[in-house]
Amino acid sequence: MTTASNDEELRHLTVDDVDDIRDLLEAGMVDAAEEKFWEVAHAIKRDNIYDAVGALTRDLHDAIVAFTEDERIQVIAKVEMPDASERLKNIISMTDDAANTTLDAVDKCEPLIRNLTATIDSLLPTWQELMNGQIDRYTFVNLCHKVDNLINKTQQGGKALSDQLTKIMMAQGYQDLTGQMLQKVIKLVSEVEDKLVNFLVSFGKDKDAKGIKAAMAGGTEPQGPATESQKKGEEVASSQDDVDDLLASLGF
Amino acid sequence: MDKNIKILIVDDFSTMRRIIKNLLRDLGYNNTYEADDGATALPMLEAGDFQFVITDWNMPIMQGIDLLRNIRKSPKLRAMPVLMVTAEAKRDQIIEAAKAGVNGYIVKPFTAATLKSKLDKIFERFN
Repeated sequence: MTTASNDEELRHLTVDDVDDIRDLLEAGMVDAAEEKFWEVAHAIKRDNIYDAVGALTRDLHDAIVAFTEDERIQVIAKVEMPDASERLKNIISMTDDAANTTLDAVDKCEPLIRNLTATIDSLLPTWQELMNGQIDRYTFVNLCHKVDNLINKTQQGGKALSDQLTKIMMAQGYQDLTGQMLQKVIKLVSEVEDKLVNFLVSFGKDKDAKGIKAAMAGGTEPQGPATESQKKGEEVASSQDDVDDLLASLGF
Repeated sequence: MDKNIKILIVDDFSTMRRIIKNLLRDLGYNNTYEADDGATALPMLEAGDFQFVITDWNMPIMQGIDLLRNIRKSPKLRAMPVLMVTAEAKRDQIIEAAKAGVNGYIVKPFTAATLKSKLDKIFERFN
């Protein structure tokens, strides 16, 4: 049987094709008629595939040209994406700085509190004697000096503590700054997402991209902190209690 | 529990290592050391006399889950208690960690009280 293997046979169905098949059938040559039918059918089918591929290629070409000539895409790719990466790196460094500033301040506060508590603890027995009226003159004078020393130390310590607390408070400014940077990055990601979704939709792909999301949800590769929307799903434990319940169900 | 036990804290973020170190210090555990991923931690564990490991999951080079598997494979380290402190909260991951032999699992962000209760539970079982 001949098949549509060259350009001459890539064509539409013609009246001649139908006439040929009818003539063969009328002559009782059923096998030959069927062979002719399939020959024509193959030629037409190949033709349609070429048409479809051609149309798809034109659409793809047009979409790619439109995509690459879109000025926003140019700006996003050349300026805003590198800028977003830079911002994200900046956020890591700012949060790192803020955490270290806070931890440094806590480290400085702790000995101040320890000293203060130790001084008060050492004064307490003599203080109790005074309160019970069981104190001699010599011990009383000694106590006065110790209390004086405590007052001075407390005053200095109070100032130092206040300074460290201010540092801790000021370090929290990172939240505002990184929040603003993240908002910009989120806006950019949303815009790129819209453009990509439009690109997919123009080829009739799944509009809500369920397949992609399902593919991303699989496995146990590290994901980083779960987002609020992920925590609402069944896949992710939303709290330490959830984790404990799950582990308990596994015999922990 | 002996407060002087030697603990290795494994996390790629120095601030988190510091937070865990500070919390442990507040609980009376001062004998702590740090590593920034599994590949650094494993030789330290093999060479040293550590008694307890606290590890993150998501780290470069060798992740916490692989560190845990290596610990369980090692004749010297296989009985070492391992606490995972991580932002990874997928149920499949928690189950995977449990299967790999983790002794406790804390999701970040966590509180000092959570860390204390998990440590108490682990040490109670090992005593």
